[in-house]
Amino acid sequence: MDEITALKLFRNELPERDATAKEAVRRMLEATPGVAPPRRRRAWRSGRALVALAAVFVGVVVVSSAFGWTSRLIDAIAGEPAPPPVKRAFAVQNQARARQVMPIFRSSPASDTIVERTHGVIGINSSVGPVIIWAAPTKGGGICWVMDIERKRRPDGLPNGGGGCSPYPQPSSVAMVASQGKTRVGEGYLELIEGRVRADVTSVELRYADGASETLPVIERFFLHELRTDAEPTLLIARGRDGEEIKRQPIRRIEWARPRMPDAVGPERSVIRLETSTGFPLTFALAPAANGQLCQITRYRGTGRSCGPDPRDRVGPDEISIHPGLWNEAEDGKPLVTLNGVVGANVARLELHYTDGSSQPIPISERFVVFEIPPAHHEDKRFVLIERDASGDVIARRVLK
Amino acid sequence: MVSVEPTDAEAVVASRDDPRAFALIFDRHFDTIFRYLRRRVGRGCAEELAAETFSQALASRHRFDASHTDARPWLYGIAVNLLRHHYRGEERELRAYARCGVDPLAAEEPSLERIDTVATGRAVAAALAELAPVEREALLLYAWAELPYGEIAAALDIPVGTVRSRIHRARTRLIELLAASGQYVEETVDG
Repeated sequence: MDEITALKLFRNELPERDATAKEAVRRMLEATPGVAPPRRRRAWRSGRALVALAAVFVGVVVVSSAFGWTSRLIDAIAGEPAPPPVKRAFAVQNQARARQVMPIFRSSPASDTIVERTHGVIGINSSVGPVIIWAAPTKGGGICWVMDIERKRRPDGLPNGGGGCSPYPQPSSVAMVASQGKTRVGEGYLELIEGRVRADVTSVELRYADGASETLPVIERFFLHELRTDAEPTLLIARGRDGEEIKRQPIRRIEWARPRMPDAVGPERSVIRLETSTGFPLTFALAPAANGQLCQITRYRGTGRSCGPDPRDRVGPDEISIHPGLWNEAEDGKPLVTLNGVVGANVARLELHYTDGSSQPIPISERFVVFEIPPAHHEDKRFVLIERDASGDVIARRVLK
Repeated sequence: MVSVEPTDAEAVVASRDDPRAFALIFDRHFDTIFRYLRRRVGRGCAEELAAETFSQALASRHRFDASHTDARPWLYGIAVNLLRHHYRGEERELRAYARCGVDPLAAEEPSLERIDTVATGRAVAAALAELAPVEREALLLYAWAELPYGEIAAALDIPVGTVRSRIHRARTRLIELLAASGQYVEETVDG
C-alpha cells in the first residue's frame, strides 16, 4: 500500500453524508443575527397570488398593438390548480428522472417537482386557440413548466407544447431569458415568444420593425405572447416598476435566428473506432471545416455531425473536458454509456477508477476521448479520472459523479 | 424538459442580490466540507466550524472571484483558515491515537470505535502529527479533499509551485515515518 492510500484509509469510515449535522448547521445559521439563512425556498406564497391576479387585470388592458390586434390574456388562470392531465405530466417527468440509467445521469432530487402544487401561471387566447403555461415548484426551490397548446394536446389530454425547468432559483444576475418557438397547429402555425424574468421586472416591451410596440404583462415572472406575422420582431426590453429599462435583448424571426454550422471542406479521417457492448460499432472521425474550424462526425446507429471551433483549443494543457454520454437508451433496452471529450496537451494518459477498486486505461487519440463505460459499472455512483503526464506523474484526480 | 442548473459562480453572484440563492452553495457543498472537518477535528467541533465556514462565505460572497466556476476551493480555503486555531488540539489527539491505538475521535464517532490492531492507523496518526501544519494541510487537501494542485493553490492562496513542494516534502516525510514505524510503503510513481 502506498502512502497516499494509507492516508486515504485513515478515518475513512466516516459517512459521506450526515443529514442530522446538516440540519443542525442550517439551524445554527438561521439563528445567527445578520446571516441570511440557507432556507429551503417556497416558490408560491399566497401574497404572490394577489399580485399575480392584479397583473392579469392590468395585462388585459395593456397588451395591444398600434394595429388593434391583441394577444388576449385568459382571465383567472394565474394560481388556478392544474387539471389532472397536467399534474400527470409532471408526475411522469419525476418518474422518468428516477428511472434514468446510471446514477450519474440521474438528476438531483432537487429537480423533482411538487406535483400537488402544479398551477396555472399565464394563458393567452392565440390565433389557434388557448395556450397556457402551467408550472410546479421544485424541491430545490426552482420551478418547472409546461406549455399547453389546447389544439395540440395528446389524446390522453397531456400537454404537448414543450417546457423547461430551473431546479434551483434563477440567478438574479439573469434579468430575462426569452425563448421563441414556431409550431404547426392544424393548417396554420403558431409563433410564440415566452420567457422568465427576474423579480424586479414587471413588464416586457416587444418592438417590431414597423415601429409598433406591445407591452407584455409579467405574471409569476413569466411572460407569453403570440408574435405578429405581418411584421418582423426586433427587440425585447425588460422594464421595472417605474418603466425603467433593465435589460434589452434583440430578437429575430425564428427562421433566421439559428446560426448556420460551417460545412466540411475536406475528407473525413477516422480517429477512433469502438466495438461496443451493444454489438453496434461506434466511430469518431474528423474533417476540416470552413474558416479553419473542425467537423466531428460520430456514427452509432445513425450519424451525428458537429462543426465549429476545434474543442481542443478550449482546454488548458493540464485540463480535460470529458462528459458522460448516453446513447439510444430507450429504443431496445441496450444503453451505451460513454465518456466523450478532449484532453489538454500535457495529458498523456487517463485512467478510470471504479468504486470496486478496479481501473481501466482510457485511450486518447489526437487528444480526443470516446470510451465505453462497461455495463458492469453502470450502477456505480462515482468514478475517478486520473490524468498523468508523459512522465507518468499525476496531474489531477477528478471525481465524476 | 430542459434542465438548467446554475454553476457555483452563478449561484454566488446571484446571492449578492438575493442571499437566498446561497442555499444552493450550502446544499451542494455542505457534505464534503463537513466530512473534511469532521475527519480532522471530530463531529462536534466540525459542526461549529462548518457553520462558521458557510457564514463567512456568505458574508464574503461579494469578494468571490466569479471566474472560478467551482466554489469548493474558496470554501476549503475558509475552512482551512478556521482549522488553524485547532492545530494544537488536532496534533494532541493524533499523538494520543498513535500512543494507545484508540482514536480519540471515536468518543463521538461510533464508526471509528475500534482498536487499531493493524497499526497502520496509528502510524499514519503519528506521521500526520509530525508534519509541519502547512505541509499537513496541503497533503490532506490533496488526499482527502482530492483537489488538484491548482485548486489547492487557490484554496491556500499560494503559488502552485509551493503546493507541489509542500506536498512532495509531506509525502517524503510520511514515507519515512511510516517506514520507521514498521509499515511497509510501496514506492509511488505519481507526482
